[in-house]
Amino acid sequence: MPSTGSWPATTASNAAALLKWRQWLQRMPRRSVAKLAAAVFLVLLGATAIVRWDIAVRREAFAVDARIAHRLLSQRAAQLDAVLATLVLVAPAADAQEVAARLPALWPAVLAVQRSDAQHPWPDTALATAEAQSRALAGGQRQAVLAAVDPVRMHYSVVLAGNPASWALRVDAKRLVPAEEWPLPDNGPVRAVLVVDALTLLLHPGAPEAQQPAGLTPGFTFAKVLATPSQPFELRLQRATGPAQWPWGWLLVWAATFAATIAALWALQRARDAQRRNAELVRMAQTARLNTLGELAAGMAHELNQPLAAVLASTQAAQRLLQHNESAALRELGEADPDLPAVRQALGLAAAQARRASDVLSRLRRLAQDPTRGSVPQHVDIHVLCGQMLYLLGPELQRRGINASVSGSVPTLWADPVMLEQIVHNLVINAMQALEGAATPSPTISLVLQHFPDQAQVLLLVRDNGPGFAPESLGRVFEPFFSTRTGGLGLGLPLCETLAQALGGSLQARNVGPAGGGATGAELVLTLPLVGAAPVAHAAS
Amino acid sequence: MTLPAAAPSPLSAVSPLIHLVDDDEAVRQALALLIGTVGLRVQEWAHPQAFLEGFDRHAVGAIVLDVRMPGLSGLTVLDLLRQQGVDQPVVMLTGHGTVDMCRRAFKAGAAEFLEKPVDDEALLEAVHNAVREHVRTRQRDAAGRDARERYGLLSPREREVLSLVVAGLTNKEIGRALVLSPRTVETHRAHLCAKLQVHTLAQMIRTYAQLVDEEAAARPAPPQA
Repeated sequence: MPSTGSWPATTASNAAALLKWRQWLQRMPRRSVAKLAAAVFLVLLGATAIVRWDIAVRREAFAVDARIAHRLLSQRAAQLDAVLATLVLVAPAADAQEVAARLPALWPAVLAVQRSDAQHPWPDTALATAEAQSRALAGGQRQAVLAAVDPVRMHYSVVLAGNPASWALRVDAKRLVPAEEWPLPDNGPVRAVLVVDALTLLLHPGAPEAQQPAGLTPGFTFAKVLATPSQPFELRLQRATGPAQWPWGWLLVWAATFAATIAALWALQRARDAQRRNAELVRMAQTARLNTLGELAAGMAHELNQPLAAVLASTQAAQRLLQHNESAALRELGEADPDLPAVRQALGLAAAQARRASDVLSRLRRLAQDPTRGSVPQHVDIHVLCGQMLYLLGPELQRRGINASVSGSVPTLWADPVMLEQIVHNLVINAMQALEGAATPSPTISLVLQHFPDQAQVLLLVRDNGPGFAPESLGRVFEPFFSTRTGGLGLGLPLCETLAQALGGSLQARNVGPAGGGATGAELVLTLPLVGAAPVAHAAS
Repeated sequence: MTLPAAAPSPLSAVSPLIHLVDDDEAVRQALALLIGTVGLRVQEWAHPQAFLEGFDRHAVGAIVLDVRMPGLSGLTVLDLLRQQGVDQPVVMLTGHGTVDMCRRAFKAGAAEFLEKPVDDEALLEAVHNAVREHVRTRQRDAAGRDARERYGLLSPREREVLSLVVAGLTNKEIGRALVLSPRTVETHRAHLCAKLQVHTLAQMIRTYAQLVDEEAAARPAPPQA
């Protein structure tokens, strides 16, 4: 991702990066861009859900902890009240020194115990004031009163007025709840304070950002006064939930899972693609085999028929000449050569066998499939068809490092697509084989489409930059069984020609290259008529 | 190779000449041998182009043409022959004949369409028929040429009389139509017979009715008022 955040800086490198990014985006097919956007959207959606879920879980935990903390503090404060009340009622005459020595052992939060009566006034006026307040409260039901809060050391005193003596406890707020019962960890993210009047006792500082819980996601807060009227502290808890607190581990897991799923789907798609391509190739190969068989039968039938015709005609000529001679001999000599009947029989046998062989050939020809049989003409976009053929042969082309492309645009044709596929497939394979043995530095096959409206023709040029045809073989490439490759059957191009003619077109072979000799490649020119596609052709052109 | 010598003997002027066009040498030689056994002269051509440029279009005879040949196909050659007005009948030979090919050949005016390997009897019969047909065509053409020449000698009045005779009118009716005396009509008819070299009315009508019709069609307005 380019740093779009610093884009306003408009540095040259940024502009270049943005341009590059835009170009990349433009080069990508529109569908890929849509897919990318959808993937990013899904990732963000999932991440948001994870963050929200995490916040909900932590809020719940925070609320529970806060309630526990509040209850524990309230309980302890109430217990101190009870201790004070006991001291006032039960041990009015007890020695303060003795009590002070024993109480902190039971109550770690109690730092000191003080007693005051008529003889012993309070050492601190704050305590005296508090005693007066306590005495003034609610008639007989005396209540303890808070006094002398020290926010720095976090100490405070609770005073309960009594007769004959009043008692006071000096308490350490930090140790009010034993550490093992306290739910909030000492170095945790939660900030915990006790507030009374304008004084703040800091129990836990928490994470620095907990002081100001704001940002992308609001923090959690808790504020509640302790349920002990004698110690009306407000417990305030705060916790931040900014990006620093997000569950980055889970987010990472989610992103990785998503990416893995996409990759798996992509691989599956690729595999299915390859499978479809293979199925298509198999189908083409089957058609090609049938067509080749037909071409083979037709080629063989033609090649063998000629000699058979010569044999039959010669034999029959011999039979006739023999008959002339025989009748002449009979006329002149009165008798013919006694061997002549045997010769005649032999000739008859030869003629009959020639006919028999010829019958076999015509049966074979009838059996072989006619490539035009079952052809279904339809509107064909030959540009798309060529693209499909290159796609099918893509792995083969890549393996050989051949660069193949289709260019030019022509109107829609009215033809049988299977036959057209066969032709294009064969021509591309032919070009591939031509390039195979050649030491061409950057082998290229280009399919060029041309439209000639005057002649109502469409031309497909299949051009390679291989060695071209040898001059002596150029005239024979469409001859059945003529092949320059060792092991080649020599039926590919004849088959293409037969198919082209069946489509009402033609196929020519030529060399391309600079004028004055020196071929820089071969070119096969498939000419196809534009008949029967008039309405669509006009619309397309 | 062929039985009669190809020298310009008086015989060669009448003996029909068969042109055999086939690119396969063995087939060509064998067929030439076969056709030669029945006393026909055969001229062999290996290349259709050479045949088109070099053959004698005035000779009486027939053409035997292979369909599948490199360069020009037999069907194309047939089309070219017909375009050039060649009147020799053409027998087509093919190794593998399709219905479509057969239809095209007959549409282009082929006399016969045979599949290879061809039986001697079928081929020879086809060639004989073609030659006979050509001889007849030539004779008919020659007769037509003669008749046209004689017709050209007639005066306009005689042509009028002839057209009415051919139309089946009697002398009297002709006289009325042309405002002539029957005797004058009679004289014209005698001249007609002499100039056209016919002896009977039937002969005259058979030979010249077509010419008279052609003449009438060529004239913008008929003479009958």
